[in-house]
Formats: sequence, C-alpha cells, structure tokens
Amino acid sequence: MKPLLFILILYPLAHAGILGSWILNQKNFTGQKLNPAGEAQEVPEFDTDGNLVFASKQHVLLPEESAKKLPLQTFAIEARVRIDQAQKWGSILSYSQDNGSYERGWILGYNGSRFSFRISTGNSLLEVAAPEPFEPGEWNHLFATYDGKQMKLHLNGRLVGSRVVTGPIVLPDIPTPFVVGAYKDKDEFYPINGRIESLQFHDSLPTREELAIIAKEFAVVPFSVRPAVRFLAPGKALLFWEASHPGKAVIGYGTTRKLGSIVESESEDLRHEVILDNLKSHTRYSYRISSNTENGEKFSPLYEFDTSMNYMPAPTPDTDHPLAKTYLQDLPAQPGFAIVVGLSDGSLTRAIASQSKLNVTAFDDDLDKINALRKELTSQNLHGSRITLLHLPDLKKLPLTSCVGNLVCTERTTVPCSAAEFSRLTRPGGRSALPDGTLITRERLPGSGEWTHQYGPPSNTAYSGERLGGSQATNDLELQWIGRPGADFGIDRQPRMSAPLATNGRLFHQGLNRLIAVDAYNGQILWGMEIPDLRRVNIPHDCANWCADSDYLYVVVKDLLWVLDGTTGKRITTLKLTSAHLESHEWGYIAQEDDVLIGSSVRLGAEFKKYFGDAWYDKVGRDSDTANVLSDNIFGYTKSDWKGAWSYSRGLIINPTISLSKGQLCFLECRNPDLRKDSSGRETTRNLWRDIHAVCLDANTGKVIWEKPFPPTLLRTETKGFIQVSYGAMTSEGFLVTISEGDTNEAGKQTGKGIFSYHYFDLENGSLRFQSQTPWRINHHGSHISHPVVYEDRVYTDPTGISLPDGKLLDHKFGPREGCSAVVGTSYGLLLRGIDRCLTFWSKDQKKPTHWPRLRPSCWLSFLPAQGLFLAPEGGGGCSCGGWMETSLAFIPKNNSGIVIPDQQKK
Amino acid sequence: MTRFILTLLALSSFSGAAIWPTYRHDNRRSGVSSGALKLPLVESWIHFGGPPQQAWTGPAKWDAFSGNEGLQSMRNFDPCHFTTAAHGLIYYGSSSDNAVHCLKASTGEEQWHHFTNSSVRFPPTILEKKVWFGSDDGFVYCADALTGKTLWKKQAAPSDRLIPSNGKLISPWPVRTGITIEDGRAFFAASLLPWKTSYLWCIDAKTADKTYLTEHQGVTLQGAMLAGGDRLYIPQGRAAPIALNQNDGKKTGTIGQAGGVFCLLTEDNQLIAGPPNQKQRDQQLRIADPDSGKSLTTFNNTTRAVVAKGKAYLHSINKLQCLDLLRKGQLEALLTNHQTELKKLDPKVEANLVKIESLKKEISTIQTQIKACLIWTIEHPAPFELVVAGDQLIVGLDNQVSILSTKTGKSLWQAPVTGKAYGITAAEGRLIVSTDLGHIHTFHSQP
Repeated sequence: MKPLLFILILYPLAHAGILGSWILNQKNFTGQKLNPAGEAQEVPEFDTDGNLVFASKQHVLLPEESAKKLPLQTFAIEARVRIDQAQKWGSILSYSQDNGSYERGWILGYNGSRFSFRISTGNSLLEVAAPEPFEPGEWNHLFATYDGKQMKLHLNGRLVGSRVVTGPIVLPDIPTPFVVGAYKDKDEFYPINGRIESLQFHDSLPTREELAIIAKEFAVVPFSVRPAVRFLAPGKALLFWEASHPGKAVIGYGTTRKLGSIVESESEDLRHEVILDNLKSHTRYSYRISSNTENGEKFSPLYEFDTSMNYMPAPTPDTDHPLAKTYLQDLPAQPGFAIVVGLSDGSLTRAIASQSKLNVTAFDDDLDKINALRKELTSQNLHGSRITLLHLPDLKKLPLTSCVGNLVCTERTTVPCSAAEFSRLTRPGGRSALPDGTLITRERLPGSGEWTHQYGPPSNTAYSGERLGGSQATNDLELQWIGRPGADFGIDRQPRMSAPLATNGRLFHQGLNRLIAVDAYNGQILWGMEIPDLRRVNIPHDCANWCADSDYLYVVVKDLLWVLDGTTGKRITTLKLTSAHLESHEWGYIAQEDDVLIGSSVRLGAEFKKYFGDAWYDKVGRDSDTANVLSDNIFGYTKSDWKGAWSYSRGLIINPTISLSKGQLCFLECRNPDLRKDSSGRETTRNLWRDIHAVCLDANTGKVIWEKPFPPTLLRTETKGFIQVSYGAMTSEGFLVTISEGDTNEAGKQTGKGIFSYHYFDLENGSLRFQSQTPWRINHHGSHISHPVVYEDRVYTDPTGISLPDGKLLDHKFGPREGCSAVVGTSYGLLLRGIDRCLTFWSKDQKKPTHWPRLRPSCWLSFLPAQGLFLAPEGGGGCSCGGWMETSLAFIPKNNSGIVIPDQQKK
Repeated sequence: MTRFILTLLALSSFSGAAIWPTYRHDNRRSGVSSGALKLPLVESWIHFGGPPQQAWTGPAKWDAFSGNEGLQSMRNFDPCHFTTAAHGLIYYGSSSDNAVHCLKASTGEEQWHHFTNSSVRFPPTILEKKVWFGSDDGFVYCADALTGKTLWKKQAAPSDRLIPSNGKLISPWPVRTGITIEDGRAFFAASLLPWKTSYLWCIDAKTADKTYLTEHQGVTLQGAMLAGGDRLYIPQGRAAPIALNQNDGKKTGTIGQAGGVFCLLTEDNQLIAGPPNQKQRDQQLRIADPDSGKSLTTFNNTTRAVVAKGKAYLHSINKLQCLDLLRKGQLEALLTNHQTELKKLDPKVEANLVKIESLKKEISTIQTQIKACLIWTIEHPAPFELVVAGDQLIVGLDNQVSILSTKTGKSLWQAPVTGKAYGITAAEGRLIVSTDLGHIHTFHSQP
C-alpha cells in the first residue's frame, strides 16, 4: 500500500494549476503550526504514519484571506481521507456559513456516511453525494469539481454524483473560518474523526486520463461480504455469505452490538455457511463477519437480523403411518396446510405432521374422540400449532374456504364427503389423496395469471391475463386468508420498492432488507430470509431487483444474482456480471422467460436505496431523486445450464423501459457518447434525451432485430419541458413507450401541467405506428409517474388512456386514483389505491369503483391479481396516519370460494 | 378457634376473599382489586401454556417518511395467557391450543380444559360458578366453572365459514372482545373486517337468549370491551374506539381522541387509552371524555396506567410516578376556565387590567398546584403491566414482577419470572403472572 500512497501524494503536486496544497503530516508541523500556513487548534497528535489525528476537537484553521482568493467558478478540490466515524455535518475542507436561510460558500465533506460536496450560488447549499456509504477506517480519494454549470463528485477516480448548477459560488460576507477537519461557522462546530492526508485546490478540472489513473490505483477490491440469514426452524438459522477475499472466517453475533457469541466457518474460500442455534424468539440480533485474508484481518460492517421473522414450523416427534409417505411423496417440502376429513385414531394425522412441514388440521364429527385426541396432543404441546383438531357435526360439507389444502385426505376407509368436496378443499398444485390410494393433483384455477415480474409478465403490461373469476367489484371477492407478514416486516409504506411476485402457488414479498415466501392460497409462510444488501427503492425510475418462475426466485444482491429454490429458499447458484463490469458495476435489470435469463450492469451506487426522510421519489421536474437509472450493458444467460450466452453494450439503457416478450427484448438507449463516458449511472440531464434509440434484440442471441431513432417527444423540447419518467411495455404487436413529460416555460419554471406521451413501435420492424398523448391529472402522489396498464386493445394511465392499435384517446376515465400506488389490471377491471386511499376495484363494464376500507397498499405496488386470487401482502403499516389494517391478505372470487355466504343467500 | 379468627382477620386486611372475575378485574378493565396481598410471597408453581400465538404482528419499525420512530403497537391485546381467578381456581384462554384451561390455584394442577375450534384470546369471565368465553371460531361458550362442561354454545358469526390465518383456521367474524357481563346480560362482538358487517350481541347470560343484536359497518372490533355507566366501549386498534348504548346496542359515538387496545375506564367513567393513530413521536396515553370524545389529559412516553381512588400510577422516561388525578383534573378544568376568561379580556381596556392581573396570579397559583399533584416519583424501568391491589402497586417487568407501596413507591417485594410480565392477577391471596413466553407463575403468601 505504501507505493500507492507515494504515487497519490506525488501525483497532484505534478498537476498544473495548484492554488493550494496542504499535507497534514507530522513533517509539516512545527508545534501547532502547519507549514506553509495554518494552525492546529489542539495540541497535535500523529499516528504511526505521521498523519495528524483528527479526534476530539482537533481541526486546522487556514488563513481566511486565502479562501477568498480561490476561484468561484472553475476549480477542483482534491482530498485523500480516512473517515473513522459517520456524522451528519462531516467536513473535510470548508469555507461556509449555514445560518438559517443564509447559506454561503462550499464544503467538501460527508453527510452521514456518504461523501458529499456542497456549494451555494446564492441561495441554499446544493449537494451532490455519493450514493454508497463509505467504509469507516478505509482510505478514499475525493475530487470535487465545479465549472459554473455542473458540480461533480468523484470518489476514487469514479464519478459518483453530479448536479446542474449555474453561476459563481457566493461566498459568505461575514467573518468565516477556512477549516480543515471540522464544519465550523458562526454558530456551529462539528469536528470529525479520522485522517486527512492531503488536500489540494486546483484551478482546473481533472482530465479523464487523470481520473482514470486514480481509478486504476484504487481498483483494489475492497473486502466485502454479501450475507443472508435463512430461518430453518424455531431458534435456528443458516447464515451464509460470499466474501470478496478467501480466508478463514469467524462470525460474532449477539442481541446487542457487543455481540458475544462466536462461530467459525469451516470454509476457507469465498463461500461460507454457519448454523446459528438457540436463537431467542422475537429478538433483533447483530452480527459481524471477520475474515483472515492475505491482506490481514478484515471486518464486515455490523449487520442485523430479526427472529420475529422466523415463522418456520417446529418439528413434531417421529411418527410413522403406512400412508403418510405415499401421500407426501413428491409434494414440495414446504410448509402449508394438510386437511384431514374424518379421523380414525389420529396416527395418520400425526405422521403427516411428523414427516412434513405442513400444519395438519383434522375434522371429525365425534366430539369425544376429538377431545380425547386433543388432550393427548396438548400434553405434548402439539395441539393448536402443528396439529389442530376441529369438531364438526357434519363432515359432508366443510365450512372451509376453497383451495386451502396442500394435501387433503382422510384417516377413514371411506371419504366422509364427496370427492368433489375433497377437490374443492385442495389448493391448485396440491394433492387430494383418496383412501384407495388414488392421488389427484389439482389443476390451476381457470383464468389465473402469473405475476413473475415487477409489472406482471416481463412485458411490463401490469396485466397477467388474470380473470379473477369474472370479478368486477369488491363484493365479488371473498377473503381467502389473512395474517402475516404484518407491519413489522416492511419499510413502513414500502417506498416505491419492488412489487411482490406470485407464481406456482407462491407469493414472494420484500420488506426491510428481507424477503419472504408465502403460500398464495393459505397464507402459510414457506420460508424467510434476511438480506442486508437486498434493498432497492425508486422502482419507477429503475427496475425491480427480482423476478420468479415456477421453480426459482431470482434475487439481485449487489453485483450478484442469487438463484433461490422457490420451495425452500435454498440458494441454488450465483450468477455474475459480465467480466468487464465485475468490480465496477452492480446487477441492474433482471427478467426471465423460457430458458432465457436477462441481466444488466449498472454503475456501482447508481441504484436507489434511501428510504428514510424525504425519500418519496415523487418530486416534479428533474431532481436527483427522480433521476433515471441506466445500464451500461445488457446480457443473457441460459437457465438450463446457468451459462452466459451473450452481451450487448452500446449506449446507456434506460432501465424502466426494458421489456421482454416472446423472445424479443426492447428498450430505449441513449447513444450520446459524452454522456456515456461521464455518467454516474443515474441521469437527470437533458443530454439523456438526445440521440435516443428504440432497440429490439433477440433475447436468445442478443442480436439486434431492429433499432430506430426515437422520434421527438411531444411536449419537451430542447429549451423547455422535462421528462419525468419513461416506461416500456410490449403487446403481441408492439413496443409501447410511455413517457411522462412535464411542462415548463422558457425560463424553466414548471407550469404544473404535463402529458403522458405514447410511442408505439411495430414489433416486427420497429416502424412507429403512432404517437399520442393524454394529459396529467395532477402532478403529485405518483399520478404524474403512473405506470400504464397495457391490454391488447387499450392502455390506461391516470386518469384515462388510449386505445390500441390506433392510439386514440379513450372515451372514459377510471378511478378515483388516490395516494401513490401504481395501477394493475384484470380482465374485468383495474385494481388501484382509490377511494379513501384504500384498495379499490374499478369495474371496466360498470365504470364504477368499489373499495375495501382500511386496506392501505404501499406507495407503489404491493398488490397483484394472480393465481386466481387478489393478493395484497402488507404494504403500508408504517404509514402512521391512518387506521390501516396492517395485514397481508388474499381474496378469492366468490364463485370459487365454495361457501354460500349470507350476501348470496339474500340475492 | 383463635387461629381461625386470626385467619379471618388477616383475610379482612388482605385480599384473601377478592376474586378476579374478568379480564383486568372488572368491566372497567381497571386492574384494581380492593385488598392487598400478604407479603412476602413465595412461588407456588409455574404452568406452561405454550407460546401465545398472537392475532397480529408488532408495528412497523418506524414511519421512515415522517421520520417517526418507535411506533406504538396498537393491537397487542393477546401478548400472554391472561388469567381470571375465583373459588380456588385459575382460568386462562389459550391462543396456542384453542382451549380454556382451569387450574387448581393451590397446586397448578389442571382441573379441566374446554376446547374450541380456534384461538381464545381473553380469559373467561366468571360469574356464579359459570365461565363465559369467546373464540376466533366465531362462537361464544358458557361452561360450568367447576367441571368445564358445556352449558351452551352460541354462534356469534353470521356463518360458519373458516379461513386460514397464521397457520390456524378462524372465522371471518372472530370473537375478540372478551365477554362482558352486566346485570345478567352478556355482551360480545363478532368482528374483524371493516368491509363486512360486524355484530354486537347482547344475550341473557343464563339462557343465551338474544336480547338484541345490532349491526355495525366500517369497524373492526377487537380488544377487551369495557362497560361503564350505561355504555359499552369497544377498541379498534388503529382506529378510535366506539361507544354504544348498553340498552339497545346502538352506536352513540366514536371516542376520537383514543385508540389502541389498552383501554380502561376511571372511577368516574373517563376513558384512558392510547392515541388514535401512530403520528405521535412518543408512546402516549390519553384521558378522553366519552361524552365529547375530547382529550382531557395526555401522558407522554407511557403505555400503561392504573387508576385507583383518584390516584393514577404510570410510567414516563425511566420514572414511575403517582399523580393525584382527581385533583389534577379539577385544577386543569379550573385552569382552562381561567385561561378562557383571560383571553376574553382586552388588555388595552384599562378597566380590565386589575382583573387580568388577578387572573394571571391565579393561573400561576393553579399551575403550581398542578405540579404538586405529583405525589411521588421513583426511578423505574418501563412496565408491561400495572395493577393495584389494596395499597400495593404490582408491576410487570421483563423477567420480573415487583410490588411497590402505592403510598410511597417504595419497593416491597419482587420475584423473577420467565419472559415479559404482561398479565397480572391478584386474587384470593395469590399473585398470578402471565408472560409473553407462555408461562403462568403463581405466588402465594408465606404461611
């Protein structure tokens, strides 16, 4: 590491136009005096490398006059620093005042755990910040630049943030300290903890070549782990991680940050697994991984997992029964419900519980028999959890909603009800077992759809073909199940996170750095996992971080794609980015279809993760929170062998436009070469909308099928207006690009109005079939970033839409849409957050809404029609204002529920 | 004979005869029993009823958008196996094994159990050697208190439909209000889904004959029902409790300044409950006037309180305190009157100046007097439950139960328990403590 330090120290000095240079090393101090000019404010202490220790109240004051002489419009500040503790007002070098509305000067520092650069051109201090937190104790190189038009922050030679700002910096006009190692102004003082090895103030911006040299020097892969905790049984979990460096690893964990318990991994390579046992229930644990690498002992950040999320069933005592094995054979080894209609001696019921993870509920008409067995089971603490016995006077028809049982059987020699009743109780994909040994698997519900991607199918239509049994109103649906996950699972109102998925009878849902698999038909938790690096938000400006098929769940974890077994959550394999992007990028887009799996690479730190505070991603206009996330390439894997098939790399691909359908992969791509070189992977700049192309690739080979220059947008021009968001979706005939365009006057001031513009390309040859538009209804609460619901013959975007294939304005509106959620479609209506900001069903035929009071969905998409059900896992419990139900639930069409209910009787 | 008389004397000064017949002692859910326990206590036995299977999970970690951390749990009505006790027997309803259990108080030996088809979330109400309880299966049961034999079973839900919920089957109309018995009538509600009609039942407690049945829309009635004056109050969790007329079951209003499921009525029938939503940055209890629905007083950083003989015992930021609530209420009313009067007086009018000065002085005096309503305060961890038995304040803590003097706050006795002590029953000379891990600890006086 020493030679690298040497290079870095010498390099800036060799650079022309240095206006000031400060090396904060023992050699340059005489007492408290820093040569050539400056003074430490405490008696200086130096570390073993001679660096001044910034701790307690230590900071260095430089002559204020020298700050006033620095350029205001074109300059660069370079720093090499090691920050030991994150803090809100972290300042490395500053000349600034922040007194209420009086905000002047500039600050190179950090905000929390992210490096930041702030300048004022007269009003407030404007900030660019690194999207990723720094590692406390690690050395970093910063280059903050301003050219009178744009401020930028480079971290370790890599652009991590930029912002359009105009005009010269306005300095404070009151006495202001020029400070190293603290934020200090008229009435505030925040010293830092760490080291500042060197600082330079340049009168010119660094060249690409200079930045590239720095980036190369810092291209050493930092130590990292990508851990996850998967719950196995009550009190038991598997902790696994993939380290960046091989080496023997140890995990410390405990119920406080002091940790306490230690487990060693037996592996010495990159992959590790340890079992954590005897975990307390309903307890938040902290853990840290340390690894003995060839570069010395390395430590991960402190992570957490919460055993409140451990819903795995407890095993029951080993019991055998000749039929249990047969009945359970080849059934997915996942939790669920077994329904036993009619008991004999309870032995089959016990054996099913013992040999599976199913909760067994047995019905019988003999109360004495039931009570005797209940007493026996209760004495073993089994009744009511894994085995429950219910008394029913008549077993011919069970008052149980349909489609509950993963297994339905009887202990008796004859079925006490009809075979049809057996079938009714069995969930699709589940099994009914008749006493004669006949095993019947129930087919999927007719007209049921699969929600495998963010907006349903990978074509992003927000409509999966789900018929919901013809339902058109809330009263056409009946509650199927209610319960977990609850409000403690998620990030309060799930701030524009990835949508849940539902396929093959399973519902997958993401929460606060965690995910869970639930049986879609009976609500039973199948498995759960705590993944610290899972979170991705602001999906309208990006794409989801997961998708699923009938066997697997594909989950993006930083630069990796984990392929998880849908039944158990067990990791099957890990896929990586293309070689050119292995250490500089993270996995962006993910989709699958047939044997193809598509991924993309986004620059490190480009994806959004912030959710605390004002991270609502709903602002109007071009803003750092409404920037588009862009991919540098897109590539294909084949699922059958998990091998890479192809890679495509030309321009910057706008993530929310990427769509996949029937072997064709469409997206918008910016081919502006300057932007590509300079981009941080997130863009708000107008340049993004210059040199845009619509591209269609063969998803199996990556070859271009067609590419077309994107036509001029309908409202935005070179001088006015802005693009708020852009979406791609595919019908069987076309690639539909929906762009939300906001209006401004020539001075750039927003008018509050805007449009959704629709651009429909022929899938066969890319010819533009039409462009049309509908106006925004409002410009807040997600209305202006509405994702379209795309049918073959029409498109809905708040509050109306267009018909296909002609692009004509629809003659009706839908809604009311209230609150921030997206809208999804069924064959007979739209589901949305509507009346009283609750879940609402808008009927396509009746053009009327009905709603479920007190059901609050998330602030993007937490509900979906699929599997013959309307699934609404908890999405808004942390919104503290309303009387929300804070629960997950599923609805089944009444005509599939199997129960004659009072409303129907009345009818 | 002398020994017998001494025993009787002892019972008269302690609470040997006091029973605990319903959830939190009475229909006001006061948590106040008249007689104290004879100290010191020793542990008699521990019963394990299985881990409680709560109806709802905890709240979100925070409202991140609003920067609001530490959200209150507003539906935590079944954190343990709460108990009732009478005639040497202890009862609890189990969310774990779906049964009501009867234990012999002296030994912990199970006397009987009565299964239902789903979770029982409140302990049975005891009266005249009978017990009443409701279940998530949508039924209400009455059983013989000594044998557990079913006397009658009544379907409270409008249908027998069952749906999965957290690994069990429940009715979409579970009975989660407990059973409130007043003047020979039993009250309970079958309710869960705000988009479905909810049902309030009033039946003859002996015969189960219907007195009335009222339907209510847009509500989710969950948490122990309260009765005071001529009204019933039913919590709704994340929505304000509703008030109903006992005589006809009609809704009289919503207590807009109240919420959550920890609710109790004071001796003068004012409702102490949590806030109606989670907007407050701190834990909070409020006293609401049931007539106007207005908030009379707010206590910050607290989730549990008990009021006995006009004194309120509650916790706030590491301190347990005793307030003269009655006096405080009177003074606050007076203060409000004075402040209103002061506002009406224009200080620019010279004739008002004497009156203004006088009012200001009186306000200052009242404010000093309000401060003096704090009778005692001690350093103390936050409790999960507070009850009063005579002159004893019994506090449920994490892995501990303790008894303090209501007069001074001085610690009188304490003992370890396994888990968080959410449920406390003081009856017939015994202290019964229920924890979140499913344990029921019973203590008795040393001979």
